[in-house]
Amino acid sequence: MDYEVTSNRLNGHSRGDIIREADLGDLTTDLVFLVEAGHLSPLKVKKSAKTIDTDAKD
Amino acid sequence: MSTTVYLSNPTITINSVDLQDQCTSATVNYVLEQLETTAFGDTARKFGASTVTSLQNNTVEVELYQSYAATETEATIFSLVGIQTTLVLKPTSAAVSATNPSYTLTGAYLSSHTPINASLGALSTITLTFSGGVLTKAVA
Repeated sequence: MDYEVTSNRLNGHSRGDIIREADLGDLTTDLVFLVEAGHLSPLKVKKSAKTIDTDAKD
Repeated sequence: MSTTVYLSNPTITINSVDLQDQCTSATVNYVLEQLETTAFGDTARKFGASTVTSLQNNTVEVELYQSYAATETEATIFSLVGIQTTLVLKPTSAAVSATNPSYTLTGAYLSSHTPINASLGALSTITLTFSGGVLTKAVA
């Protein structure tokens, strides 16, 4: 899951950065604590409104 | 003689959150428990040996200004009570090197916190003691 950085205190990252859990190194804790504290916001996966035809054209 | 004077640069992150600008004091105590290895025939007490590995018993004590604003001290610390977390401390904010080592305490336990420490006319501060965990030193 991707997260948006929502504070300027997250080590090595700036507000607005999109990161993954692995980008924070060995945290020991769950990311939920950083979400609760307002440092991260989980990004929701947006579903495409249109289907995409991936078949090769004749 | 070379010494270190801390003016403004030491860095501290708690649970990957940079709290340098709220921190006024930080102490890392790197402790290996003292195991006695004195035996018959010895004429003095002995502790440890090259073949004896004792447990680390580390603590980190930090003093922070209290702030209830979003993403500040209280929001970051409160949920860490009673669980393990990771702290990283460096003498200066410069890159990690042999002269600016980084100390990481992984799996440190925060047992208590004082959300309100109010005195009339004084800035509110909190003192936290993180116990346990494995301390590692990095120089690169």
